[in-house]
Amino acid sequence: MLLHSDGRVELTLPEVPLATNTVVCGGTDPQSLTTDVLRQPIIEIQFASAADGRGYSVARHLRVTLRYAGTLTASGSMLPDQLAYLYKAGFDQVVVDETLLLKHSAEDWLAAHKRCCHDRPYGTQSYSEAAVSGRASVWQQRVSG
Amino acid sequence: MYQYDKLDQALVDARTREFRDQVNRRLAGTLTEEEFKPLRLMNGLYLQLHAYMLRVAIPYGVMSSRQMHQLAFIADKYDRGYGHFTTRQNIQFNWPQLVETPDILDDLATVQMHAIQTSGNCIRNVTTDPFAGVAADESVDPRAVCELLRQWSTGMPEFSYLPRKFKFALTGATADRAAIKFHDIGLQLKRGADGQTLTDIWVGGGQGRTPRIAQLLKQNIAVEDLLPYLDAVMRVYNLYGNRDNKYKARIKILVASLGLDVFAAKVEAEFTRADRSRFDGVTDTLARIESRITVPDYKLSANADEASQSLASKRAADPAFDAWVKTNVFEHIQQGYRIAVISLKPVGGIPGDASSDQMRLVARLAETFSSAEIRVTHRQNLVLPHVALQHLHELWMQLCGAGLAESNVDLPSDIIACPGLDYCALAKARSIPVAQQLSSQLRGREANNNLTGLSINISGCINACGHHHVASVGILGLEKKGVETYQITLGGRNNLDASVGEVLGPGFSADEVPQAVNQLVDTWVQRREAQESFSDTYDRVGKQVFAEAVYAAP
Repeated sequence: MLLHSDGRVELTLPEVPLATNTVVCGGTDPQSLTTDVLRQPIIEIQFASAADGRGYSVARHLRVTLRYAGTLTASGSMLPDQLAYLYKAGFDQVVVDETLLLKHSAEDWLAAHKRCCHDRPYGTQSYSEAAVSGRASVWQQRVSG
Repeated sequence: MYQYDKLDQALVDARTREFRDQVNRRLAGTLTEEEFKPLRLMNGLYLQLHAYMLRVAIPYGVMSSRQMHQLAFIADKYDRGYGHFTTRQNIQFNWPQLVETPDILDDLATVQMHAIQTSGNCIRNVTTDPFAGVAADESVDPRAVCELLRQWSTGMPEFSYLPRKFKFALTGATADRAAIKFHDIGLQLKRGADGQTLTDIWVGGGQGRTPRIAQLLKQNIAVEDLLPYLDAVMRVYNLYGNRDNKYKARIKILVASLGLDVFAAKVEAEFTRADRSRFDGVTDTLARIESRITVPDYKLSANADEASQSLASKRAADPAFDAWVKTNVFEHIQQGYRIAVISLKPVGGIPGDASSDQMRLVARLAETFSSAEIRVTHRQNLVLPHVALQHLHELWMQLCGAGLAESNVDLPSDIIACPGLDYCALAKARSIPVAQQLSSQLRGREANNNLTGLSINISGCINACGHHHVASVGILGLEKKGVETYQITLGGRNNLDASVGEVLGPGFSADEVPQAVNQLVDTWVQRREAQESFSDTYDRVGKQVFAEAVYAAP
C-alpha cells in the first residue's frame, strides 16, 4: 500500500508512477545529485535498514538545501513506528510493499498511520519540525499563541 | 529551573502513550526484540546483565525537590529503594520490570520528567556546568541554550537514527566543569564586546576505545546562527559518518578521517546553502525559555557581616564542619550565598548511588535551604545551588545524620565509577568494589595530606563510561584469560587543558590496585612542587618516575 503524509491511504500500490520513480539509495551523497534528478516529479529514497537514518538527511538536503519541490517517497526497510518521523522529515509518501507487510501487518501500518495523521497528539509533535498534515511545530504554535 | 508549558507537557505525555503501546506490542510478540530495541533505547530502557535498566533524563543536571521526591518514590515502588546518578547528570534505576516501565514514565511525566533520548543513536541528554547560573566565574548562564538544544533535539526525525550516539556539553564559565572537550560537540558560551552571547564550537571529542580531544570548529557563532550551524554539523555527520563499524561510527572518527578542514568545509557549505526558515524566531524562542527559568528569591541577609562572622566561628569551633566547607562549598555569584556540593562518595560506598531515604532528605533540604533546586554533577555528586551563608552549618548537620556529609569533593576519594560488571552487559570487570576499596584507603590519607588535584576514575571496560582516560589516575577494567585485570593510565585532564592519560605499564589484579595507587600517590606527594596537580607533576617528571615506583615495589 501507499501511505500519504496528508492522511490518505492507497491500499494497492500504483504501478505507475512508482515504476518510473527516480530511485536514490539512502546512502547516496546528496551533493552528487544532478540537476536532472531535481527535475523529476518524484524522488524515491530507499532505506537500507530501519536503523540507517541517512535517508532522512538526503530528504532534508533535497528539501532545504537543493529546494526540491517534487514528491519525496520513502521505501525499503522501515518500521510503522517511524512513519511520523518520515512525514516530519519531509517525505510525502511511504511505500509499504510485500516485504514490509510480511514483518508487520497492514493493520499495524494503518494503525500507525492513523496515529500520526489523525489522533492528535500522538508522538507526532516536535519542537522545530512541522507535524504531519500541515500542523505547526511546537515553536510555531507558541509564536502564534 | 525551566518550567514546562502545556505544549512541553503534551509532548512528553504523547511520548509516554506511544511507549506504552510499543511495550504492549513487544509483550504481545508483534514487535521483535530486534525491532523493539531502538525504540526502547530512545526511551532510556536497556537490557543489562540481570535486568532492564531505565535511565531517566535530568536535563542538563537540573531538577526540583518535587522531582527528587518522585525519583525516591519510583526507587521504592518499582526498584530496590535506590538509584544511581551518572556521569551524564542522569539517574539510572537498575531493577525495573519491562511491564511496569510505562507506569514509571507516567509517574515521571507528572513531574515534568521523562527518559526520552537518554540512549539510542540520537542526540542524548545535553549536559552542562552543575554550577550554571550561580558560578562566580561564569560569563554566560548556559541553561537557556541547553533547554533550546533539548527542545530542538527532542523527537527530531532527521537526527534520531544517527551512525552512533551523540553528546553535547556546554559551559559558560572560565573553569570547565562539564568536560566539553570530551564530547561529540562542546559549546563554550562567552560574552561579545557588545554584551551579546557568542559561542565557540568544539567538535570530535570523546572517550571510549579511541579517546580524542575536541578541535575548535567555529568561533563566535551568534545566537541566531547557532541552531542552523549545529543542524549543518549534524547533517554532515549523519550523511558521512561510518555505519559499517560501530567502533568507528562516532563523529570524532569522521572528523579525524576527513581532517578538520574538509569536515568544516562540508559543514560551511550546508550552513550557507540551507533554507533557515525553520529557525525563524529562534532568538524569541530563547528569550521565552529564559523567561521560564525561575530565579530564586535571593534575600540579602540583614547583616551579611554577622552571617560571615557566625560562619567563621562555627568553622573554628568544629574542624569537621570546617573541612566540609573547605572542600564541598563553592563561591556563589550572589553575595551572602554559597554552592554546597553533597558528596555521593562515602567511604567504602558505591559512587553515585543514593537510597530513596537520602533522595527524600536531599529534596527536603533543598526545599528548606536551596529554593527547592538540586543539580547533578558529572562527578556523580549532588549540588544545592543556592544556600545562604547562615544556613550552611544547619545543612551540614542534617547531612551528617544521613551519611551525606563526606568532605571529599574533588579529592582522590571522590571517585567516578561506572556500574561495571555488577550490572552492565558490556563490562569486562567490576568497577564498584575497586572504587569502594580505594575510597576507604585514600580517605585516611586525605586527612593528613593536601591531595587536591588528583582524580581517580574507573571504567569496567574500554567504552570508558567511568571516564578513566581523563583522570589523573585512570583505572580500566579488562578481562584477560578469564581474570579481571586493571590497566592504569596517568596524566588525564578533563578541563580546558584537556589531556588523555597514558598507559603506565602492565595491568594489575584487583588485589594489587590499591597498593599501586598508594605508590602513585606517594610518588606524587614526594615530587610535587607547591600545589601542583597530579597531572602537572606527571607531565613535568615523566612516566618513568611513576612506573619505577610502582613496578619496583616488592
